[in-house]
Amino acid sequence: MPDHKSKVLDQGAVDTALHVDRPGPMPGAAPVTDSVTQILSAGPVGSKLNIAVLGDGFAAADQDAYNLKVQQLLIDGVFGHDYFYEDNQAFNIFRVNLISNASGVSTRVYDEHGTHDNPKDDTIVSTTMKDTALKYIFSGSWAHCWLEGTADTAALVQAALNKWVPDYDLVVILLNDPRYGGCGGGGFQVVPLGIGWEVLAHEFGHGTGGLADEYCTSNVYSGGEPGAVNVTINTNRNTLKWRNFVNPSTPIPTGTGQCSGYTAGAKPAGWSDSQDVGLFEGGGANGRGMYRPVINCRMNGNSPEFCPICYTTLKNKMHPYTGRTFLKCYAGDFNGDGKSDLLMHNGNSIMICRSNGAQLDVVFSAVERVPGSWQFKPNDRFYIGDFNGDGKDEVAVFNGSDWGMEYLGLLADDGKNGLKLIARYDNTMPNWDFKKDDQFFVADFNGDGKKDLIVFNGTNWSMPYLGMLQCSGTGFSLVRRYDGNFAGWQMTAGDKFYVGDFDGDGKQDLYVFNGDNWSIPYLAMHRSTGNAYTMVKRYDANLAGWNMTKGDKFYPGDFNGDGKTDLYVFNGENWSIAYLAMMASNGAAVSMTRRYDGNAPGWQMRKNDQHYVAEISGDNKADLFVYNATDWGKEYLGTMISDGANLACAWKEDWVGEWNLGSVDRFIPCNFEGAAGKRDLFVHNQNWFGMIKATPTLTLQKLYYKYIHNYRYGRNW
Amino acid sequence: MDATARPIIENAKLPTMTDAVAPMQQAPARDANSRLMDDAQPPLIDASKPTMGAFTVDQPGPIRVIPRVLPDQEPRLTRAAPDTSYVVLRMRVQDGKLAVIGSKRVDGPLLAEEEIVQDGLTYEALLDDKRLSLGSVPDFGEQRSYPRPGTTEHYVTVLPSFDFNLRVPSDRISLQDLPKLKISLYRFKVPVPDLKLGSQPLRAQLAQEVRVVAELNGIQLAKLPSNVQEVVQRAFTR
Ligand SMILES: [Zn+2]
Repeated sequence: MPDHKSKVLDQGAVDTALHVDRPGPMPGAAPVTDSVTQILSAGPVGSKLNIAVLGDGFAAADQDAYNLKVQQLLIDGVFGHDYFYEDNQAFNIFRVNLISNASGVSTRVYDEHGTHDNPKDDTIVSTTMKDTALKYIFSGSWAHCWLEGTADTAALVQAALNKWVPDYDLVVILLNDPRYGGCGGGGFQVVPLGIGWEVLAHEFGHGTGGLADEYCTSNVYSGGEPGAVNVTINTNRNTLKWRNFVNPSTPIPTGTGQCSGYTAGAKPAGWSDSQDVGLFEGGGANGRGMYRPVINCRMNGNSPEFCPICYTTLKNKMHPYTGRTFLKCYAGDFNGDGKSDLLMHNGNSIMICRSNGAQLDVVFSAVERVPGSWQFKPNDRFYIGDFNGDGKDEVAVFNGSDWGMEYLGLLADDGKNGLKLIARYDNTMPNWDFKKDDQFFVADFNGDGKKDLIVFNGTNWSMPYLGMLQCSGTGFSLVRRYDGNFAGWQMTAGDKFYVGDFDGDGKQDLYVFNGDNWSIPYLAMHRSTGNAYTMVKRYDANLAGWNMTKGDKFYPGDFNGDGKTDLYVFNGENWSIAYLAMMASNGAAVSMTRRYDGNAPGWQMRKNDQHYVAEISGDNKADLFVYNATDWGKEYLGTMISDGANLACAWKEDWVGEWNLGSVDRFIPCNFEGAAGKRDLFVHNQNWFGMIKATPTLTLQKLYYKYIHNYRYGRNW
Repeated sequence: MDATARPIIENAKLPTMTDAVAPMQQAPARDANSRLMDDAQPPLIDASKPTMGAFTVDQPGPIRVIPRVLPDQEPRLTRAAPDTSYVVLRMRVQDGKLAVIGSKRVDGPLLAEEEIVQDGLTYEALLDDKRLSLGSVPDFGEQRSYPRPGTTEHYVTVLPSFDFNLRVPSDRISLQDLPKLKISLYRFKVPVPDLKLGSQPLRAQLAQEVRVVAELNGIQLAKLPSNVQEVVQRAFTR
């Protein structure tokens, strides 16, 4: 989707330089004119839910306090926790900076005549008016919604919204009064300074999800079935609207009586009052006659997380606004626990989902940028590896097409389950000018335990270039560059590079293949000396008994477990049948260990077989996952296990558990279980994400639809 | 799939690797058409493209110490502004009647929500019985005071009227179309799980499930208050 951010706002009015992740503008004189600052930027306003924040009673000198309060309530509070944090990509937040002439808002004192719940008999004791931007009056009287507007207020609010905010769905108006209170409804929340973010999150549940209150009063409800998703009068478990989330072992109703807890027997051990779903009497602001799904949801007690029913409603409703799919996924162990986590990229956002060995949980959600700063864009390319040797994976990111220049960044652990930028190179770095077709390869070429980058560009310059970008752990430097000639290898645009330590010295080497640019195909072995490469072997057309052709595909992996990276070679297009060879490296050359002609043991090879290097059997011998979605009537996913000299294959047809294999599926070998080797797969397409285990056979561990979330019982489809 | 079967011939016109005759094993032929790496004059220069500056060892490539705050990344300059926009109509609902009370044109695309989750109210804008847009009004018609400390209860006041924002894509409606613009506001009587809407008007598809809360059959510009007339006119003029 095109980014129309620059068109969205009146540039003259917007402080584009200010962002929540970074300190504000130069300190100095207090602002004297109204303005707007976008503090959450998820995308074009017409594609997102837009929140406008206005302040009343904040004079010029109060603006820092206003900014801080907005940060605390909205960014750190509502959008720093659970649901709204996860879906921050669905929202824009515009902070309108209105300068009031007076500091503090007008106040009013009511005499409630002892009846706090009845406003009808109340009388005004006094009103103290102040000259503020929106002319709100704070009273502190609950039955008067704690506050009220004056005759001018509605028009002033509309004028401010029209002037400063391109479009809005929700409005938060912050009053400069230290007391507790707040008045919500119609998409508006008018609050003084004394509230916490939790009550605002509850109110956003009304404002974005149309959710009903789940709390109780002494009321007894006797009407029909309410329309809201999270309250009901139906006590039949077979027709209950949230029956999909009710564990069959949970009695229905689960609680009866005035605003009940768990009354149908003893509450099971480990029961979560906010996440375990049943049917509890009391809800929708009634004590009896209406039921709620959990004992205590955010729509009840404000502080707990949203219950599964409310959460799912919000997720489904906001999903189109997030614009998210599962198409761009990467595996990496970002916390160093030995289990592969998931990094998802969508347009201008990334999310990290942590594996606990059996499932994934969202731990990080960043929209527009991470501190440092790196601003995410659709064409960001991510390269995962342990670039600083701390046992956790970092992320190198390159963008060569979405900005006015090229950028390379290094993102590392922020200490809070997330990422921050620790180095960035804009357009150029010493001895290398970035270009859009730069290709990067992750390789520890100096064997210091910190991954480095190889960068190759074969198309944007008068000759191909290859650079060795050494990583210090905190940044990159180019230690060597090859111009045109790569240690005896004439580089051309079609060169393909494969990283592997083929001599087993701990420094990662390169295999280079070219099947396109010469009369015959070439393959070379380039050994890394730590800061340079030397070509130890070049094969011209014939590779140790394998006739190289342009369609050869190479998969580096140490299939015999001798510590030297070998090659699997597959060709499905240049011969009458498909071939797969195992080429073992001795550090100076390769020799053919095995060649399969048409059939491998247990797998009938076809021209469109796709291979993925993995280590499935835990014997330190590299294996292959193999997938074919096009050459048969059904799709096949298989494993090819190496014993060092031979392959043994197994496969599943059409389905792996509940995963229906399809032509759109993409696979990422990984290790979400944390066992030895790399024996798992992430599988993903537009709307579905799966975790596949290959041990002892191919099975589906976990399936997700549209978003990553683990329900205690049930699921969102 | 049967791995014990004979290999499948993918292309009978091609040889098998075993059949391949020796040329691969021998030194490649050199002739006028051959292009061999050994014969190339290194490096191959394409003079039509620039050359990277010389590599200098005395440029040690220092690790860049990152300033605490980096500038924003440089936006790409684009020739023309995107031509998409939409119009927001601020609507007021009172006594079952709908009225326009404000309007604004907004740059950028409008998300077409084909899947909606039907709770609260749903609006639909139709032109010549074709749907222009659909949207939700999740929170309407009441005012809630925040619960008193230590409690959870709102004090709820039902309001006599409420406002909401209705959005229509600019490229599908002009000022001249306004008298034909039909706006309906619905309430779902029952939740409809997994609702998948076709192109027909909502009412035609869900006659049993929805109830009309308010309707507006055409906007007559001349009958609007003059200040509203002005903003509507501006919003629909491109
Ligand atoms: Zn709930």
